[in-house]
Amino acid sequence: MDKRIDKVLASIEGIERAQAPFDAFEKIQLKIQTQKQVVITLSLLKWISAAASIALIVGGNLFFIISYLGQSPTSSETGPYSELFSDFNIYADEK
Amino acid sequence: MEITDLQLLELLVKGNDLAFKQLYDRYSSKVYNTLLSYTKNAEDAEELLQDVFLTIYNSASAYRSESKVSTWVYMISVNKSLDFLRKKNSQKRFGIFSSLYRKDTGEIQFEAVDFMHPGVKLENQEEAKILFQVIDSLSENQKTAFILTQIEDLPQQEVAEIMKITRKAVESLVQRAKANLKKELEKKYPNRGI
Repeated sequence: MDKRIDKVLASIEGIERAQAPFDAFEKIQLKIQTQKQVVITLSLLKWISAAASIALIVGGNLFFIISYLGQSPTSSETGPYSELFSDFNIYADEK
Repeated sequence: MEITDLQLLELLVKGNDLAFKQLYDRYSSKVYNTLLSYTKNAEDAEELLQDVFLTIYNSASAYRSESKVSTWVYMISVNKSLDFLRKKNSQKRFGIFSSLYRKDTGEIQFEAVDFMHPGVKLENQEEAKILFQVIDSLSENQKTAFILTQIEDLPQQEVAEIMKITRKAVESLVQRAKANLKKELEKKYPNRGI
């Protein structure tokens, strides 16, 4: 019995190395290329989102600035309280 | 004068694809053979081969020359193999949540298969089939020590560097592996007069 077990244990003596499949390197190169493309795409997306954020902030600020500057200076005189102001012109009728 | 592995790695870090091809030519059969001994399946071994070399390509800049390049390559191969086996074993354990059958052939995925290593001599193939079946029963460390010393034929000192243990520990692991393999063979084939 022991002889047979020893034979099993010795069955790998003189074993030769298996060779990798012939097209394995091409597949590795393809994976590397795909990996590079993913990196480029992610990097581009990062820059695009950064640019979009800046554009949003600048655009938003511009909008508010323009809105603020665009307000008419006489609006208070033509508003609902303009009669009160003219009524309080207390020196208008004095002689 | 032949270019060294370290020089090839340095060229690879600088983006030299020819250096990568040369590195591949030097190590592909060693890596593939190691992976095949763990996976016992040519397709899985090929998939892992791609993973190993992708890791080498991506991590070349992180290589520290504390160990030989060959040691580093074997370390990556062994780690990938053990990760693969752990994942396969956990799939088996959680078989209730996933199919135990291969999608393409309908065969059961996790049955022990008769693995025929292509490098085994013809007269030893039957016995080698049995041996590769019982190698699965070894612990990770014993399996690694056995595969690297007995199948890859690496010196124990190099295996010690790969496994980050002492040479004596490798020797002990190999002895225990052989003893355990004998026990498994006696259990497995008691009536066949093995």
